Amino acid sequence: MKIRDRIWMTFRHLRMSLVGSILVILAIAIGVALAAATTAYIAAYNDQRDEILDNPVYREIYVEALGDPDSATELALPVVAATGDWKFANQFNLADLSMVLQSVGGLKYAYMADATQFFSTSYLMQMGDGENPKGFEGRRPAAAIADKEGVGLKKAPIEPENESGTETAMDEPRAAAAKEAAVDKDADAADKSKDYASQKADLKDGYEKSYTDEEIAAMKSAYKDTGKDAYASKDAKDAKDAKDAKDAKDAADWSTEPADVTELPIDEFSGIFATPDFFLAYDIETVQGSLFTVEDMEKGSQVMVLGSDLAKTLFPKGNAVGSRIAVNTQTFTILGVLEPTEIIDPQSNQSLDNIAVVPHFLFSGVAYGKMSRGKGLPTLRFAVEDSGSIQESVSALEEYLHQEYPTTNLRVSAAVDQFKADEEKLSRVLTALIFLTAAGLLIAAINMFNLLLIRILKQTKNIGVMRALGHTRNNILNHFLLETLMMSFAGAVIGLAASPFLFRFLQSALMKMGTEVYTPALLLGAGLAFLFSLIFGIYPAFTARQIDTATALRSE
Amino acid sequence: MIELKGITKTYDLGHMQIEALKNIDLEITRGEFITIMGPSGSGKSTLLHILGILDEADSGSYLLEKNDLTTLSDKELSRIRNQNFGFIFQSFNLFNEFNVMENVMFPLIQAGVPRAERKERTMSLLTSVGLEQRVGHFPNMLSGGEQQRVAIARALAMDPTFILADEPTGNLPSEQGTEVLGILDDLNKKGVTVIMVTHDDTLGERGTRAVRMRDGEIVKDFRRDA
Repeated sequence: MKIRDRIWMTFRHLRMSLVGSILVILAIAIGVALAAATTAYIAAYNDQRDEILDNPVYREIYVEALGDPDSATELALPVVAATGDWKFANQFNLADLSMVLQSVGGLKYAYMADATQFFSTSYLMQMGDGENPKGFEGRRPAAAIADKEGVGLKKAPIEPENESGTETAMDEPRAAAAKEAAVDKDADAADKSKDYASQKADLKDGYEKSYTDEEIAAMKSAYKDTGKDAYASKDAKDAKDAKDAKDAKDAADWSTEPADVTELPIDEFSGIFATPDFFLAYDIETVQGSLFTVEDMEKGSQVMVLGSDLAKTLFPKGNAVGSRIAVNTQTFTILGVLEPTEIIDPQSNQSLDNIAVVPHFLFSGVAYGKMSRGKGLPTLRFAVEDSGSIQESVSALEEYLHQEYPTTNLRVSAAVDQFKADEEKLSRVLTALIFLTAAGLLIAAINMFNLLLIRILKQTKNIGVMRALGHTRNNILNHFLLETLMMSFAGAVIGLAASPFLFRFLQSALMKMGTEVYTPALLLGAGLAFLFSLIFGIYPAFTARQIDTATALRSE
Repeated sequence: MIELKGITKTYDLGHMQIEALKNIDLEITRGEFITIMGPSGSGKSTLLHILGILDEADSGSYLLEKNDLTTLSDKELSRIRNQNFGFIFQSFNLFNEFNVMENVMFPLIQAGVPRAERKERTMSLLTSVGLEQRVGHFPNMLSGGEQQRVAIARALAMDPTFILADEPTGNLPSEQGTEVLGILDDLNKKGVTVIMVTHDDTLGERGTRAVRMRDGEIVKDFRRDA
């Protein structure tokens, strides 16, 4: 018999029990789709695991302060108590961070980075006075903080350098921002290589006391006058009514909007307060303009770096760099636009492409919404050189911080721990999925097994007639094998066609891998499932082959 | 020519053994129209199955045109069935998934006859049984007599030497049964050897030879002059 005729005949047989055949095909399709998608997902996972772990996010160690942010005693060093009482501000600063970096092995970068939300100032004004839109809480009149931070950092002995040249050497946006900043007098860069230990000691001494805005203003002018040390003159000044000054300043901040700011097309966007090493740790650079630096922070410059997508949203014409925007009652100068990246900020769970990065609030004095993670406490972050040895670094860091700051309740964690935990969960889900797939396939195969057996039982007489008309035993075997093959194949094709969708569903439901579908793995999974279902068709076909012809003819 | 010698067939039912055929000797020559009669359980159907190589004897020899069939493979026996024997059953045994034409074509497809040739052959067969108008119909749309005529056409598809008919009129009203028997008579006149099994003694009047069986033995073998 010709194969074409055989296939035609088999089609006719399948058509005879159409509903049963379709159900079996669908069952096989489900099994095949599950098997293919699961195989592809596992393959993608194995393939991309190292790549994922290579993500800078998984080189990070977080140090967060635990406990009540309003309880200053619990929140001693190293984390600033951001409770409105700013006497602890800057007790822990970049110098301390640098100390940690040097003292704990395996760390490569140290920085602060905290998620926040920016609201356009015009939106805030629409919301009315005293109302805090969406949980926004401007904690401080920003300029006041900026003043304080700026002066605070300048307290360290700084050698004047490029005193006249720095400002003119700066690029235009940065110069504008510097002018905007509360502290615009001193363009001296703080030397990073300075003795941070002594700087720290000075800072501790200097900030036992909190200052009023008045005092700070006085400090500023004194600093201006002398160009050297602000603190001698500061002590001599008498504070006036600080509250009046503060209110006046608040009012000014909320109502005045410089004429040259760009109007924003959106009301809010996500942001990160960061110190410059954040960029290094995440290995991101700008495509336009530049990143902000330690100097920018020390000057309290109100500068902002935009993620690539956010820049497009805010400045569709591409003129982001150098523009000024008003958010959170302050005016920021856009310093640069980041290159597109695939990094997701683990705190805000937003792509860095959609985020604005500004100097950390501890330094910039940017009003900081309490909606952020950490309840107003900065998160110290460290990046390790080698993600493989991150556990040792975590332990060493814990030990170091415990020794240096014994009264502080801290939690040290690595993002990779979360990954590992996720991975463990994932492996359980995958195991379940494999069982589910196997069960699905088994059910499909058993269904086909049953259907074929029943069909053969029903067709016993026909088998006898086929024998009488010249079918060999092997013809009978082939006939039913072909039925199995055709049903399995139809199921496999449908299942394979559906598997990319299932794969994408797994991608979105489980740990995210790349969205690329691994065709060879899909085919492998589908092929295995196909073979599996075929095996279940072999037994019924052999049963048919063994049927005694005379007995079959006598049957009804 | 068929020569059976010492054919025995026993069915083992576990609790008992039934001797369906006891030491049967039978010679059938070309052109005969044999009716094998006997009550049910006499072994006539078993004998027909063995004649048509649908069943195997426990012992004895089967020579078809002097060839010993007992040594042949399933494939060779199947080919002999396809080409030398045409079967007609009591309950027609048409394939319900195939239409009239496809049913008749079945043995031709099995033999690998080219498409055009088998279509032509099928049409002429269906015309000869008066069903040329019914080619596209399915078996369940036909009367019993029509179905049996389709079955006869199918049995003749490969132009066999022998027609083996097992109670061909058993499921038919007498008028349609007579029609079918008439076709068998005509075939015999054209030289086809017809072997018909029946429990109906009146049918034994037909044909050239009557064989009567009882309890697995041939008790009477009567040749009639044509």
